[in-house]
Amino acid sequence: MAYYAGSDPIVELFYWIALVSAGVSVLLVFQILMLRFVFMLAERHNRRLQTRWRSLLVSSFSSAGRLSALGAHTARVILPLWNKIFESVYGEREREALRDVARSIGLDRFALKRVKRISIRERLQAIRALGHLGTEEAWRVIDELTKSPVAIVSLTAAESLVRIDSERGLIRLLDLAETRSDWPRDRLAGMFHEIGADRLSYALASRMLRMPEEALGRLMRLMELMHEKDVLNVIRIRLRLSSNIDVIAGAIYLLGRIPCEFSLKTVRSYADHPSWVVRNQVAIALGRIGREQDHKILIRLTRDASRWVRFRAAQALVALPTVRLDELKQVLRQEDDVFAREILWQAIVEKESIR
Amino acid sequence: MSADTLHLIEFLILIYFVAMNTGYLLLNLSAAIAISRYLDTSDASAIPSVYAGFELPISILVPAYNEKQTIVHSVHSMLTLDYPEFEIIVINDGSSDETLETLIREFAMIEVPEPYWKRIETQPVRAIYRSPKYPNICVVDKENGGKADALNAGINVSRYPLFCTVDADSILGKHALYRAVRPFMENPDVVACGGIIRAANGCEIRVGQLTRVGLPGNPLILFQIVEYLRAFLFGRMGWELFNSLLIISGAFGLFRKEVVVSIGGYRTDTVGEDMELVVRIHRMMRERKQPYRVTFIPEPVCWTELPESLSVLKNQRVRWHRGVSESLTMNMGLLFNRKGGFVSWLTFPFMVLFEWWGPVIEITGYVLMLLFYLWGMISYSTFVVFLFAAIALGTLLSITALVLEELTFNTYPRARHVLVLLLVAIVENFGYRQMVACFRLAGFVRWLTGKKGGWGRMERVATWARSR
Repeated sequence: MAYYAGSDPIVELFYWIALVSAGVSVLLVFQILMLRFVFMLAERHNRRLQTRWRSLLVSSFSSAGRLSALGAHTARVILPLWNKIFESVYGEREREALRDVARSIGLDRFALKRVKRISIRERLQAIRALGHLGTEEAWRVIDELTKSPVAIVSLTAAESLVRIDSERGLIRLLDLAETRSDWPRDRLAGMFHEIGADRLSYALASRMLRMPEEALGRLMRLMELMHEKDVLNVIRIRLRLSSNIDVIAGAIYLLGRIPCEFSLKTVRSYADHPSWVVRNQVAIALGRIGREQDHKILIRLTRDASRWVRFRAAQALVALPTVRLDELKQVLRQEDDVFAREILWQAIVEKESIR
Repeated sequence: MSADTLHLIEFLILIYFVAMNTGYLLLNLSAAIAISRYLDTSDASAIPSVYAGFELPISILVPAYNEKQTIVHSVHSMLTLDYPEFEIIVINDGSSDETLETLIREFAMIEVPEPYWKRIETQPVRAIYRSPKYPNICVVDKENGGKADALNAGINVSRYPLFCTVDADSILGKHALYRAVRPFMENPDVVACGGIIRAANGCEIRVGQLTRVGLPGNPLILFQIVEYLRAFLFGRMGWELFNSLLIISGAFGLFRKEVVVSIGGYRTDTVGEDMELVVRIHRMMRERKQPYRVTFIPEPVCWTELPESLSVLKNQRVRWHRGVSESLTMNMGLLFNRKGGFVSWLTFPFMVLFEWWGPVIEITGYVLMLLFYLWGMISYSTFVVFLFAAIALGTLLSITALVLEELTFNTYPRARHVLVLLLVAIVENFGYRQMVACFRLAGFVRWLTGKKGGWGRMERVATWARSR
């Protein structure tokens, strides 16, 4: 553009915009090439580092070698690897060996510094490592992180508290589970599953007996991870006084997975509930645990005002081992309700095609 | 023409150029923040694992019109998805080829007397088929009514609370549903979620799954790949940060069914039904004062076949731009709406000015400058400076999208891929972008003249289907 001799200020501005854009583009091209180059080098370097440390960490299970403290860069690469190996071994002796190695190379101190990082990813790795290390002095720092507005940070912190001190941590976890409505239920369930029904069941059941209805409705499905007797106990007490749809529907859902007289009696008693959500759960539950005398309830539900209840009732009917298809065809012939007839016919045809 | 008028035109062109490109560069920045947040909180190795079985079940809706060539492969590919509970609903929209017969034969479908629940008005449904062999496949055979009508029929038949729209020629990533459902699991206010679409051309696909990412040799597709990077990485993610994303591609989108039903489903009088739905969700949810979030995940979840010929590309872009025009004009109530927030006061006006009217202004700018030069009203150097600015800013935008890609996903693994894409990002500014702007202008004219459109037909080359 050597021939350009700007005189018009607008054209001049265009010229400079173009020049700056072109300049920045060239710089960005170099940045991309550099990034790819640096990325390739870093990946190669990290891979080498990880291969070396993987064997060092694994060999620590059998012999306690002396390792020197790590530099910040190496520690940053090793921390996720250490977490990964720790989570893949189950023996307490191996885990203790890994903890010893981590302390000797200063990974505990590094993780404590790392929990204050801006990068969430690095903070999460550090929180996780501190949980595995079970360092009591990390409790206060991690407990503070459970108050984080970022759900995943507080959830990971709560998980680490349970690892540091299982009893105190569980109490804290349950406190938080009750109030943190932003915690994804499937991740909370993952944590409960890891804690195990033996440790969790009684503590969660006691909490659920006095929990506000809103929180109970939200956490109801997590009772799947508790012992059946505790589930039945909570449902027996809470259902008597509750009018919350989430609580009732959740309870019926759970009872449909626990075949017993109490479950059957309770499920049947909600067959005429004003909410279709509850009646829908009744149809599903009876399809799982229902007996011969429940056929009538399900047939009645195939005439329900809600399409979903009719659909679930018909599907439940054909799924029951106590129902014979010719019996259902007889019902179909005698049925006056056009919606019930339609939905039953569909269910029968589907069932017959599978046979 | 007086010197003052000429000056004013130059000034307006300058203002428009600066505003548009600054807007896009800021979007880039916003996208970088959004992507970094996403990557930070989705590192599976650092967060508590999920307990399987709590995921929301999903109905995958696959509208099909004369898709005999690819439909079986697509359904087989969807059957391999890693997700605990989903159903695949193929809606045959009155195909004139053997789409229906092929499906019936391949999946042993049988007609079931299923009552059709018309929650959303559609063309008559002729029959519903289910498969005893594959209990999670359903085929709805209906009279022709267009893609939107087919999707509405799919919604009516679906059994699950979330539905996912997928084009019949697309390949979903194995974990696409897991990734797309996460925002719904983490925030009950999420009503819709889109994901990044990438080009399947040049990639290796085996048994319905993408096994190797590659680049095709066809320059037309390479140009589109860079375009897709721009559109999805910062065009979508940039707005996501402010909950004002207006487009979720029809090739992949996950929606909360009850919300979509409550606003009347897809509109059948537009060719841009996917964008129109999202814009309407924003408008209706804000009118109802209901909390909601339209979100986007920056990971590649869907791979689709891009047009390999110019005529197909032209048809596609004409249709897309008509869709943009219709979606925006049908929801004008959102523009500068008192309750509309960010989406009303920034995103919608931005879309009107730079996306909808963009090609009109851009082409007018090129033509005017060329005419001024030919009529001797501006000097050669002014003309060249104008072109230089347009090309340099265009290149900058494409390259920033590549930087974003390089900093985050590195989808294209080999160094050669990066070099090719860099070259394409520069070369596309010498003709390709102007050509696409012309296609979009044709779409604008098509919208103005009110010509009716039908199913967006695309010649399927379906090389991936053959490589199965």
